[in-house]
Order: sequence, then structure tokens, then C-alpha cells
Amino acid sequence: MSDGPRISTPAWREVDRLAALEGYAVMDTAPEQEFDDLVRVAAQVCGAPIALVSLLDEERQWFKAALGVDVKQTPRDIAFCAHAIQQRDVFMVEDATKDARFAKNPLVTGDGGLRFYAGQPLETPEGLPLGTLCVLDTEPRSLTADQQFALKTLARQVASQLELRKALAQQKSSDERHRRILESAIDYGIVSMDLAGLVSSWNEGAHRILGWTEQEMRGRSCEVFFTPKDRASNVPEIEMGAALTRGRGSDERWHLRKDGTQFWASGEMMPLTDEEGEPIGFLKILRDRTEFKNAQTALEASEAAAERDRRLLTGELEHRVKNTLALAQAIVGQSLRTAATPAEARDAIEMRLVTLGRAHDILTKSNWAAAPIRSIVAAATAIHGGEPDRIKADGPDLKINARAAVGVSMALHELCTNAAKYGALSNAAGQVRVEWSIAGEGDGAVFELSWRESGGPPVTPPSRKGFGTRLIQASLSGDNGHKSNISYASPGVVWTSSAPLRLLKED
Amino acid sequence: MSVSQSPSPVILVVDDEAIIRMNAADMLADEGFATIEAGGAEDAMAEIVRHPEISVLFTDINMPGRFDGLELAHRVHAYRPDIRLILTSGRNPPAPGEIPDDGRFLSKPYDQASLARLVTR
Repeated sequence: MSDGPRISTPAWREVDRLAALEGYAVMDTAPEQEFDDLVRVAAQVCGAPIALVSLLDEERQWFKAALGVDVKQTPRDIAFCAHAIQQRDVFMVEDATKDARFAKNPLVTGDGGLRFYAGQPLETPEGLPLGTLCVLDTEPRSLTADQQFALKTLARQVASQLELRKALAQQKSSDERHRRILESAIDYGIVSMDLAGLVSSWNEGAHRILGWTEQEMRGRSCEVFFTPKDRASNVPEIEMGAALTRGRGSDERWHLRKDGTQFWASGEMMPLTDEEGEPIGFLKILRDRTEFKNAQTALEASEAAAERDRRLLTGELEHRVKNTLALAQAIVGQSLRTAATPAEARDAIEMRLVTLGRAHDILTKSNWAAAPIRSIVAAATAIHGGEPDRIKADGPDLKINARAAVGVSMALHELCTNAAKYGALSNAAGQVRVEWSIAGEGDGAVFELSWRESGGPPVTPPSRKGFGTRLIQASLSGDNGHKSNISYASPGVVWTSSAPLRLLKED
Repeated sequence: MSVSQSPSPVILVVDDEAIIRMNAADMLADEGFATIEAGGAEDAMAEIVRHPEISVLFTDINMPGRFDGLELAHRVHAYRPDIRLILTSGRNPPAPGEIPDDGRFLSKPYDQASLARLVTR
């Protein structure tokens, strides 16, 4: 609180008064016609050379309008108005020299030589005095009752004017705020329309999403951003109707851009109402959801594809499993048929199933597409242990399909088993050479595989055709151009087989 | 379809998997049937032509080559409508109406008794 004459307190606090003054944002602003006119009238009516609209803040009085003086402000502690605001009526000082409060005041004693003052407080609607409308003279005098009435009335006009100015500024700032909000919501197109659907406002987001500028769209029908199909079905009208009857019309649909492209948007149409709740137009808010929709469609497609793949895989798996079971069944059945004793049967079954399993392991490594023949041969012959040198394998790198891999594995297993029982692997010195090659090329290329024993005991053909023998003779033979041959002459068992290469390759 | 007039029916066993084919032939031999084997549809068709005594076709469906077992069944039926048709597979059976004539389907793996029943029904 500043130093200065203070009279006993009225019904308001200085801190509230200062806050209210702040709210008017008027201090130190430029002169305005309305206030200048009002002081002129005040001066005329009161016949005074000086008239002021004076506003008091913490430290000073500042003149929004000043007639008859050059200064814009004075310190508060010499301001007559500081006294005037302590009461509600016209505050009059007829001869300042005779008033103890003002006799020593520099405005009185100094160059200004003021003698007379009459000021009416300017009150806010809440009753807080911001300052005064006052008239001054250099001669002692007074105001008639009419002049006082006029001063009071004019002061009310000044207060109203200040009020109006404040409301306009607030409106402007609020509008500015709304504008900024709309502009910042660029992900959303916000469009307002009248009841006929003609566009009245169009934000930056709408520009960004739809392509048209605000200038282009003002006054145009909202129909332009609906698709021709929707226009033909009166969708804009239906949405507006829904907005009126239900409070909103929602949609998720294709919309049209300025460049003719379509995009997927989700939007809401709402009614705009006046103070009585009567509809005066519509507000549409829309959001470009094309990316979202595309992602959704892509996701659905990929889920559908994944489901298809799952089914295919399950079908494939079922097929493989059933085939493997049928194969195992055949192996077991055949082994039981041809074994002399249950123990022999068990051994035979065991070894054959192990061989099958190892072939499957190799196939699994390549997702059952094709197995390297080198690995197949190695796996099938390794079962028999013994020195690794006794079975030598040689041939070009080649991948063979599942059926061929299983067939070769089983045949080699049988050959090894027989060799171990009766042939080159049954003594210390015998050797086996496994070789494969490709003869010819293109469609006519032929795959050849051979098994040659040497160094074993004298060879005799088997007395009966066990499963092994039949398998060896059948495997890769007789079907679609496969040929095989087995001979039991010296120096040892020789098995050869050939097949068109294309039948051994990936299916 | 009636079984052929010979003392025991001759069955053509077709499967590209040698072990399975051998086993099927053995199962049928156990039941007293004579068998001829083929490793694919084309070879099978050749055997049908070469051996008029064949009265039953027992074939796998999924085989490599120019045509599969289902197509084989159609061709055999067109050539010799009297031949009984039995198809088998590790996959789902063909849709109803896809197998010609009164042909039957047997799912892998199958047992000897079921196979025999289909041959002699």
C-alpha cells in the first residue's frame, strides 16, 4: 500500500480494487475516442478547463483521457482522486487552498495552481472504484446540482465504456484461443456448417486431411467431401438428420479429398445450437483413419493368410505323420514276417526304425524339402559302428526329396545289415564303396547309386528273400523308370540302382 | 461290382513307397490273394492293360508322376468298369462323388482285416 492520504475504509479492499483494475488491461494504453469525447462533454457541461479520466493503481494516477493538461500521470500521493474513490458520490473541493488536505499539495501550490476539483468515482459492476471522471479549475468555484448529475451520468458512461472494452478484449482473446486450439488439432478436421450444410468454418486439420483451403470451402456444401455413392444415397442429409434427432451422427466411411482420392475417415456430426437450444447448424469432426484402416485390412489379410498356412501345415503334418505310421507299420509287419525268432524280429525292427528316424532327422533340418545325399548315406551306414574307414562314400553334392531319402536310407541299412552278417563287414578286412553319380543332363539326367563289397568271405545268394533283400530290390526299382540290380558274384555283393534324376529332386 | 471269376482275385497294388507297397501286397497274400505291384500311376495303367486278370485296383492317391491315384482310378474305370476300386491316403479322403463308381476309401495306416473286407465285399 502506498503512502498517501487514507480515509476510513469503504466496503472494499485495496488489493481487490487493484486486481479488478488489472483485469481491465487499460493502464498505459493509447487514448481512445470514446473516452476523449466523454471528458470533452464533462468539461463543457461543467464549464471547466480541465477534465480527466483518471485511473489509480498502487503508485500513481494515470489518465486515459486528459483535456487541459499535458501530463499523463502523477504520483498517487498528490492525487485528488485518491480521496474521491474513498466515497461513492461526487467528491468536491471548492477551494483547495482552504482545505487542510490539499493546501500544501504541489498541484495546488505549484505551476498548475489548481483550486477546484470535482470527481465522480468510476465503479465496476462489483462496486470497486477504478478511478474517477473529474473536472478541475484554477479558480475556486462549485458545481450546480445539474452539473453534478451530469458528471455522475458521464462517469457511468465511462465505466460502461471500460466494461465494454474489457468484454471485447476477452472475447477476442477467447476467439484467439479457440482458433489456436483448432489450428493445433491438425489431426482432426473440424468443420462447421449451417443448417443447409454450407461450410462456415474449416480448420487447418480439415485442410490437411481433405485438401481444400478454408477460402475454397467457405459457403460450399459439405457434400463435396462425401463420395458420389454417398451423395447419391443422401448420406450427408442422413447424418445431419441423425445429428438433430439423436444428438450425433457417427460414421466410418470413405470420404473424398480435393484431389479426388478417397480416404477412410471416422467422424461425428453434431448439432450446433443457440442459447435456447435451437439448432443453427452442424459441427463435423473427422479423423483420417486410412492408415489405421489399411493396417487393419493388412492385419486381417495376414491373419487370414496365417490361418490358411496353419491349416495347410496341419494338413501336411497329418499327411506326413500318417505316412510315417504306415511306413513303420510296414517295417514292423515285414520284420515279423521274415524274422526267425522274436528276438531277431525285435532287433530288426529296432534298427530299421532307428534308420528311419535318422533319415527323418536329416529331412527335418531342411524342413522336409530335401536332404543332402551325403548326409543320408553317412547316417544310414554309421549305425553299424566299427571303423569309419570300412565304408567309403563318394559322389557329387546333391539334395534328394523325402521319399528318395527314406528309400536310400532303408536300402543302405539292409545292405549294411547283410554285409555285417554275411558279407564284407563280417570279417576284419572287408571294405565297402558307396558311390553315386549323375549321367546325362536336363530331363534325361539319370541318378546312379552303387554299393560294392570286397574283401569279404565268399558270397552266396540268399536262400530266401527276406524283407531286406526284397527292399533292396524294390527300392528305387520298377517304378517309373527306376532300375536296380543286385549280384552276388565275386569279389562281393554289388548293388546298383538308377532312376531319373527329376524324380529324386524336391517334390 | 462283382469280383472276377478266377479262383482268387488278382489285385493290383499301387504305391510309390516301396516298403508300404510290399507290406500291402504281403497283407493281401496272407488273405489268399494274388498281387501285382506298381510304383506309380503310369506303370499301373500299363499293368492293367498287360494283365486282364486284374479284378481289383488298390492304389495310393498321392504319388508323383503325370497323374495321381485318383486320376488312375477314373482311367481304370473308364477302361475296365468291372474292376473294383479301393483308394488310400495319409491325407483327407476325396470329397463324396470324386471317387468313380462304387469305389471305397481306406485311410492310412490300415489293418489287414479292413483291407480284406473291402476287397471281398
